[in-house]
Amino acid sequence: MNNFEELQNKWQNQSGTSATDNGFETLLHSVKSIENKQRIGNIVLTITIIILASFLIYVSGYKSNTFLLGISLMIGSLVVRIAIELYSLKKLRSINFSKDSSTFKSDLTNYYSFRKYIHYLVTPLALMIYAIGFVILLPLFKATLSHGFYLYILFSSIVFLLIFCVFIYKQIKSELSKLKQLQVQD
Amino acid sequence: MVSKENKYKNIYQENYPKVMRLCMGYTVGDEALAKDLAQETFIKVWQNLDGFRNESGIGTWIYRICVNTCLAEIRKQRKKDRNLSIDTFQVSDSNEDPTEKEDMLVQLYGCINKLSSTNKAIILLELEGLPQLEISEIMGIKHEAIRTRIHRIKQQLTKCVNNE
Repeated sequence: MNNFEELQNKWQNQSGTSATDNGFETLLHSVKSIENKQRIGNIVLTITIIILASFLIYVSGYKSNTFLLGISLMIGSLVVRIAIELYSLKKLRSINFSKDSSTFKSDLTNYYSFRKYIHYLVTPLALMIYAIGFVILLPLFKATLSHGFYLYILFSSIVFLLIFCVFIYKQIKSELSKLKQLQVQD
Repeated sequence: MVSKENKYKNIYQENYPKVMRLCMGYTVGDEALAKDLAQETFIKVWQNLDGFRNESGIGTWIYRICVNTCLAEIRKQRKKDRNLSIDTFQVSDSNEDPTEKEDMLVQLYGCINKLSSTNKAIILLELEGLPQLEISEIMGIKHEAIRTRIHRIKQQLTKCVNNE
């Protein structure tokens, strides 16, 4: 027969939970590596924006309205989607883990509720606009590119879109399940 | 003047065992997963250390981060954990030692895992021997409500461990 005090005693004296110097070194390494990754992430993002802006300036010289419309829809939907992801990341990072657990839980629930709105509205809309932009460009591709390269672009884009959809579906499923569990009363 | 790194090392050494025990409670005794969660907790401690204003004790502050980290991260593993708990229970009941851990601890992990996430956090903090007022501060639940909950969970847990 174990009473609670016995359980407590056993709990506090369990082995294998003590700190080691090696453990601290590994931890410190992880901390520094996260800070480096954040720095690298910012550099990559800046370079991407510069490349995208240069590309837009380059294509703005084209006289074809169809081309400009198609490419603007594709790049525009991508930029909006990326901007929303970055905003979400900022929102997630701003959740304070040192608040009391009830407040934290409510902040996390609000975050995933906000993500639900993105998943059900913004993401399908962005995907649709991207696909429309691509379809607008197809006749131009067909007229200017070789038949083989045209087919390559067509099929690789469909495959890319499908892979992207599966990836987004998995992310949505995981986040909605988290939201569901957070909303369980306990 | 103590550097941030030295201060951090002291915090780590003083608080690692209790953080690790709490994480072990959340992961049903899965040591590898618990180590990951403990590491995640201390990474957040580092990231927020400059903002710590001594409004609560450092211990309370770390417990909050740890409980919230487990709450946020463990959801991915929960289904797996439940299965693990049931398996562990079956082996434990048949008096076969599945790991080197003592039977009672294994049984305890399994019983804790049957609780809801909030009740799990509350009882893990109670097992650590924290005053109920501090538990109520960590959980953001009124002291009176915590007292009642703890009483109920303690009974539940003791019964479960004793297979009643």
